Amino acid sequence: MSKYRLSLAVAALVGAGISTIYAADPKAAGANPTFANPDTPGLLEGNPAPDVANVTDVVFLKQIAIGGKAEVDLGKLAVERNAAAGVESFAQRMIKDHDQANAKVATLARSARVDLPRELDAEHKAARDELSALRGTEFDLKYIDAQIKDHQKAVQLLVHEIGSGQHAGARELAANTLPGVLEHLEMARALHDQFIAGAEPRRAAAASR
Amino acid sequence: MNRTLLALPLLLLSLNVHADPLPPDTTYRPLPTAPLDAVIKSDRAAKPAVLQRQQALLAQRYDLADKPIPGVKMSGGRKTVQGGVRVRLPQGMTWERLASMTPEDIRAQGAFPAGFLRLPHVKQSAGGQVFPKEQIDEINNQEKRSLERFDVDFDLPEHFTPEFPAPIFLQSRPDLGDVSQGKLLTIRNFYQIMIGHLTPVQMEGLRLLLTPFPQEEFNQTEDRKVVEQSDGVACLDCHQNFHTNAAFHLTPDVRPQAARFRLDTTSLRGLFNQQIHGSKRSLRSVEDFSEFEQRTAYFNGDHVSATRKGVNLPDRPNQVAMMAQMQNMIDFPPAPKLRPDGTLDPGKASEQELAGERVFNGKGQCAACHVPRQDFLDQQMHDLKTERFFKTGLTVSDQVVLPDGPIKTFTLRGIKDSPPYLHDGRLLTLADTVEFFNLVMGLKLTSAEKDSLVAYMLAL
Repeated sequence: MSKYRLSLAVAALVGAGISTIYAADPKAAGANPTFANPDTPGLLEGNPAPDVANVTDVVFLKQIAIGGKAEVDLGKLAVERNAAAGVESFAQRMIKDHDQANAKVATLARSARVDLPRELDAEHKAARDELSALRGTEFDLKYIDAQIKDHQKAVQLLVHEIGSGQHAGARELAANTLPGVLEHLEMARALHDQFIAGAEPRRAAAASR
Repeated sequence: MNRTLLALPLLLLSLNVHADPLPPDTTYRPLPTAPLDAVIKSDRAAKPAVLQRQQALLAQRYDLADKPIPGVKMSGGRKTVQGGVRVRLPQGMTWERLASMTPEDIRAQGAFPAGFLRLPHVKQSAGGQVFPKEQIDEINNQEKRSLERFDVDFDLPEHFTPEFPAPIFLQSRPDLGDVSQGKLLTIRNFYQIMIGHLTPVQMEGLRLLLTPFPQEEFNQTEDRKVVEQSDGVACLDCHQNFHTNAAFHLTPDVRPQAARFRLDTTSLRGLFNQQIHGSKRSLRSVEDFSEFEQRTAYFNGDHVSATRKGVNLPDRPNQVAMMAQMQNMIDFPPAPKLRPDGTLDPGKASEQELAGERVFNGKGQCAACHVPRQDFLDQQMHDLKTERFFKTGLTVSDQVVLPDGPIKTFTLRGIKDSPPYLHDGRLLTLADTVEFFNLVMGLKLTSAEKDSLVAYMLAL
């Protein structure tokens, strides 16, 4: 499910009676001014200006942008490597979901005047290089394990932004993205469990064809 | 072989150079950046919207009306007990239909009642201890010490909190009954109320439990939520009269902030038979708990912040032992219909109560964890896996809806005295708890069975 379809699904749930979950405007009265920048406009009125970013927002946008770019890059690598069926469909999903999310992050960063990194950081470059050297089941398992680690970090980063960010748009993006990222993590963990259970997705998929 | 040679230098690089850790504030408390007067002004201005949002959430989740069960009072006789199921259902749903659905269907249709989800802190992003008005007023009256925060107020209506002041029963003197004299124990009055009832060691333990020490929101630094520099809080500010006043907090055991769940103060009654402490930490003695609460309940599990604000570390062989012994003297309230083995006396209990006991031990599966013979405890933590019923990751009032994982079994002795229920206080009445467990355990209880369970729990 793409981010767009995800938010549609959430909207549909709201219509179907889950609205009780959202008590009020999720953006209202959320930030914690103790930790806001002292010169945030509007802060003294108890209503931090919604389009001003604090340190958490800046770190969040930069990190999530790098992570998102890495998801797409590694996803493409997995498709090139002709990964096992389950792994490949996971990779396709990563490319699609993160392409869309990355565009949103870029738009948001412009409005928050945050300069996003243009390249992968050293850790993701190293992970990409390491994966590039692998083939077959070895690649599949390493790719999925790297995905688990990256999605764990993404979950924590999103939860952190929801609790400590200041920029209304960035917090909203984090809140809207989190359910999908948790779903990705659940998928990756399920694939990992298939590997360690001995039923290699590659072989199982081939047998079922 | 080739691959190994290639991968080796990369591995070394990734170990030494390419660390990409999460930001430090995901674990540690950040230092404040704004001056206190600016924070006070800002938080006060935001307060009406913060409180309004929480009231809207409560009103959407629960029927908050004052509807006591006729003729039933809490053990001190000072407060009525609220009845009926208060959690609201999605429109067009019934409890029977909900209970007939599979967890997967409930999740797919978003039919899990919102009142069964985590209850957010009134201001999740700030968190911290929040005291009910009765406690704030009485401590101010007796000690001239302020427990009033400038950013938030207590959120639940008074009829859903325990009686105040709560009665105190001593297991060392079961003959005496309630020894509280109807007063709130404080550092100003404890001596004259308890002299003669306690040993010298217990009396010193009590003094320590009533002495305020610096706490995250109540301290002398600029990082606080009380206007004046504060002496802090005492253990019994939340565990009023060794029971609870429903003061709440965020769990010290989870990070980041938005993932932390709310904690409803636990009663200390019957602590002598409790082998594990803390909803998540499973501390193995009340000594460990009393000692380490100075860093957890007081400082959110952040010993760095504690050191900065003036942590009190009671010494283990003396002060901790005395505080622990004092707490171990506190008994449950009397339950005249219970026999020594924890079963109902058929000569005293009503037909409905006895029927409830049968459901409790049988179809309801309650006794599997709440063992009647062991003060309704099993000294275990259990994971109810409620996330089977809802989609994780939604954000509600700045709190993220995540699985809670294993939580300690709480006692049911004197349970009518301890609303709200569950570790975070998400359930307001005993009838709510019956519907909750009926659903998550897949029990399919009839309406008569549910009513009998409530009647049984009122007798415990």
